[in-house]
Amino acid sequence: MTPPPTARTLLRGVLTGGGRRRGATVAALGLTGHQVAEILVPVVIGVVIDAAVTDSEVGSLVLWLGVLTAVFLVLTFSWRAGFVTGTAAFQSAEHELRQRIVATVVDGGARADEAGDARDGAPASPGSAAPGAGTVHSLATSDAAAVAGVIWLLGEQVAAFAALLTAAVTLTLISPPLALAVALGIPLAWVLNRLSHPLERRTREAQRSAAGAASLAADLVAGLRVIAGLGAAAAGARRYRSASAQLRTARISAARAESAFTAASEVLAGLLVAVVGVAAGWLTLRGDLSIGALVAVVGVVQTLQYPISTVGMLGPSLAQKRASATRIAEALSGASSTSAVGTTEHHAPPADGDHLEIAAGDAVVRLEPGALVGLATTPELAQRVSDVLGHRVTARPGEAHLGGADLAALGAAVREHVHAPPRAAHLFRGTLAAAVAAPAPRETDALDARITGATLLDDVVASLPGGRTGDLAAGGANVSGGQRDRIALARALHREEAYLVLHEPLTAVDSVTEAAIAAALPTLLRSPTGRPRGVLLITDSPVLLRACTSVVRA
Amino acid sequence: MSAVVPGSRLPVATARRTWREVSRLLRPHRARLVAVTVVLLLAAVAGLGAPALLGLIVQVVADGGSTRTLVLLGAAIAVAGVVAAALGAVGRVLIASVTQTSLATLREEVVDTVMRLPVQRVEEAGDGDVVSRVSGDVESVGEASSQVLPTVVTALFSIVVTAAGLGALDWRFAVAALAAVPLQWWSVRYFRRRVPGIFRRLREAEAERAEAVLETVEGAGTVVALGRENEHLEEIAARSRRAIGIEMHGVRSISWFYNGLNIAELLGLAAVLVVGFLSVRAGTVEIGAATAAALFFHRLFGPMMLLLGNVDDLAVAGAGLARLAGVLELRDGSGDDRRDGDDRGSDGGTDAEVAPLGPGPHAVHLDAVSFSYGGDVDAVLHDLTLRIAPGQTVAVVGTSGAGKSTLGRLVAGTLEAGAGTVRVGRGEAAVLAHELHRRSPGRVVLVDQQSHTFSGSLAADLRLVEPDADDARLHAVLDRVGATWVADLPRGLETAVGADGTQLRADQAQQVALARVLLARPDVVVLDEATADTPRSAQQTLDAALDVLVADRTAVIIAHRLDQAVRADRVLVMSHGRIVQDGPPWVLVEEVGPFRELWQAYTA
Repeated sequence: MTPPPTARTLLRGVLTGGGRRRGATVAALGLTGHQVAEILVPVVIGVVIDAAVTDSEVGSLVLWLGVLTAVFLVLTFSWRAGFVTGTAAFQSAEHELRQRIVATVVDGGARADEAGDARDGAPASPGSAAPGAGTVHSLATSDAAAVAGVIWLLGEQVAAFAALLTAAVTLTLISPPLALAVALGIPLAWVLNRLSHPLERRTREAQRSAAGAASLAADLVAGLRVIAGLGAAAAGARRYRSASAQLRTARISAARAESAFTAASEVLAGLLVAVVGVAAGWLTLRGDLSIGALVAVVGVVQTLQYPISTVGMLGPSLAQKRASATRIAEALSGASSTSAVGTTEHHAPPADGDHLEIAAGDAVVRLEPGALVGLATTPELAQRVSDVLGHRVTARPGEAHLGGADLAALGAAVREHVHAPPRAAHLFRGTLAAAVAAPAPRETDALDARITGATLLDDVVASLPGGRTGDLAAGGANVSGGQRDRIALARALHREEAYLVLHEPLTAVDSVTEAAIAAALPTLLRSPTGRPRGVLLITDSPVLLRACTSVVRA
Repeated sequence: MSAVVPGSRLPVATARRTWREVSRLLRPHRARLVAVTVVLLLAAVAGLGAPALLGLIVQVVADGGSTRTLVLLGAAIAVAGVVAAALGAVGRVLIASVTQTSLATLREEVVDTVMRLPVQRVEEAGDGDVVSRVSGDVESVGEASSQVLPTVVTALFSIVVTAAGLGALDWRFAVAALAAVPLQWWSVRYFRRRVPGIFRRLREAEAERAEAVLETVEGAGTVVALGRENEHLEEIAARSRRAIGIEMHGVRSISWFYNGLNIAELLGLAAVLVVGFLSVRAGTVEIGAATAAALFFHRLFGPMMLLLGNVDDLAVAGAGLARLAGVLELRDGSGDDRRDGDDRGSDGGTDAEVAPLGPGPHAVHLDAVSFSYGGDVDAVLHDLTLRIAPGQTVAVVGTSGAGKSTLGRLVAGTLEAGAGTVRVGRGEAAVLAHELHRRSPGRVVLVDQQSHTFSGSLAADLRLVEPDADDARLHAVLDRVGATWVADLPRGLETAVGADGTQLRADQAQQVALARVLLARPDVVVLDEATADTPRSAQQTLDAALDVLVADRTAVIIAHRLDQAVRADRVLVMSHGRIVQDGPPWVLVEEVGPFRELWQAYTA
């Protein structure tokens, strides 16, 4: 197993991982070529002006216009190379981060929180719970983009330093004392760095405020049915208005900080231009400089504002990337530590699965292939049994056995023999056939008639435009609660595992349908390919319990 | 809600409609917009000070002037710099305050509209589309307005002023500078033809990726139980690769655009230099003016790039803006006074619009009601006529798809009958249910079978219904629905619940839903399988809570458990959109018919 990531390794991975070393380098070189050429443009302007007063030869005008063209071609095409290559590297890094975040969160998020589970009656404590969908979304989008953006940060900073260096060299060649002007740029960059911290802080506050308003809006939409039912639209809208007003204030305050920073950098650059302009003018008056050199000097100094303020933003830009990287690193290592238990012991010997046994309070539930067993118990114990058998929480030693193997040692390998979907399992977008017979989405006849008949799925098929190949919305939002239950049940019954653990599978179906399905359940103790399987029904429903061959009450 | 037609997304406004919305939002800020124009104009003029004065320095030096003059000019450059910087800063802050205020209004109107959309419309569009409007699009427009807009506007001013300055130096320079225009024009045309389309596709591809990410994360437990982690990750990766492919295509197109702009700069600069060179040689222009002209033109590069370079962000924002304006097309009613009316309706409680209905309990009348969810789907309800007496508790039973939920939604007014009428109230004072829902929300409350706990504290969730309720009242209603677990929460009522907080169990979420109803104190309550997830052990508590809940009001309970149905005053058995049995439970239990069959199956 790889060591848990840190902010530093994540940022380094962006620059060097996934074959991006070359891309990041080309991006930096390209931006550098562009910035250096930008500095050289005023130098050529100076030379042309100089030629106009001194030799007035059209030949030298043509020559220097040729040079100017060359400078511009370097300027534009090295920028192009940097931009295109940098974007590719940036996208590759962002993609890699996003996939990694989602993979880790899916693995960790499937596992319920154990600390909370142990406390009877109390729901899971939020501190150690898996991150919510909103948090994951912002990790996988804005934070991943910020971290991948280190490619641009590196390129821009290298280019800015190169531009300052080019300016220093040019001015030294023209007149060494004027190179001091670039040296003056260093304290200016320092001053700007100080000023840029409040700017960065307020920009971050505005971003946080924006993310808060966005997730509030998304949450309100998710709960729209509830809001509509309560007639609470006005209250929901009012709640959003206060978040929106807060965002407005935060954005205006960030704009103030940004304006102050920009104004400061303009004032400082203006002072630099004034000082150097007067000094170079004085040197020219003394005859130490030509007119053209004077023009070149003031032109170069005028272009210094951009690289100086870029360097001035280094501190906060880096801080922001580091903060995003830290958030991602925490999510990655937090989630992987929960799943580590399962993955390390993944290569445990395959269990001999002739029976499944689990403690439910003081009672013990024993299940064999071909049996239909009911478990009626408290919500907490029901949750525990379902989560342990689905490996969403780690079994305590001795708590559950598959054949001769302790589930505590078996880890995630238990999922090869036991299918225990979470209660109110999620339905995914796609055709109904794909949702029910998930591994074979292409074959529309992959549905087992025995199962579709028993779960009365034909009724769902009839109500869905497009029938079996009709589209199911995310979360099954376009079918009713009872239909969702039946689709999820049919999906579970299509599985091939030797044991099926169903936690309150039919809470939303009506009594008639429930009775019909319960009556058919004993005929479904074989998988679609005919393997005998054991089914554990964890339920309170008397109708379902009556269908079981034995019932454990705990 | 047996079937809706998915994929009928919310509208996207045309450019014209979008523009109309934008100008409506900016109208109240006309005075400040004028101020912005003046300030930025002055800032741009002051910004020209530096290159103009540098030109003078060159002239002074060429004429062999004094050091004193040089120092004075230097001081003037510094002053001009300070003035330009200060005015620029003021202008940008003004722009921010105007755009952020208008934008806040826009996004609030959009969320407000979405909150009031018929549930059916939202289901047709898909949650993903709606969520992306209120979060993704709002954010992209917000980003653009706070980052890009001030930059673009200041750049625009400095371009205009610099061009004018170039002409003021000598008309020939202005003409020479025009050498840049044809290529610039071509580049912009190229951009406008290719890039906006690419970005629209990019935003769609990114939205699809976001949907896949959200679905996978929300259903993580199921994904793992099904052993389909790889398929889901591969699906996200495939969508991601598609988005990246489009983005790279866009980046290359944008690069050509910039290359064109750079070459245009070269042409313009070369022309200005040639004119300067020849004019100085011919003695028609002073060296200082030639220098200033070259510096002026050179100074245009930055603003030009900022202006044209941010068009891509503006294009993305423009697409987002059109999607937001599209939502506003769904606003019911019109006129800007609408919002004030809403506020009164929910804040006051003594609203004039409620008056015609009077205090409850109220009767509910359905008269020849038919309903279909549209598309090629059969009608869900057929010609249904029903009278529910004031204060009566009616239980509705029947198979899935019999139309029970639809009936509940029609009574609650969250759906509007396709044919026939649904009225709440007695005799002449009765009002249409959907009108009542719209104008006096909260008089009829529906608890949907899909529960949702809102992100934030538990108290905040409950206060959505009754903003002024104090903690004691919240505790009281929670106690009455038997939510004793609240005492075990780490921070009591202030515990964060919902997506990013403590996950409530399904039965706990249902107790919260019932507590909300107690807070709302409606005249009519519709419970759609609102206790389906309650474990047997908690049923007694909850049944007691239900008794309290239906005591003083008219109630429609779409019953999941038959023992709930037999406690009601009256039972309706529905099948295929029709009422097939109607009567007191103690009668129906004895009568030959579907209810007795159900009851026998239940109690066997």
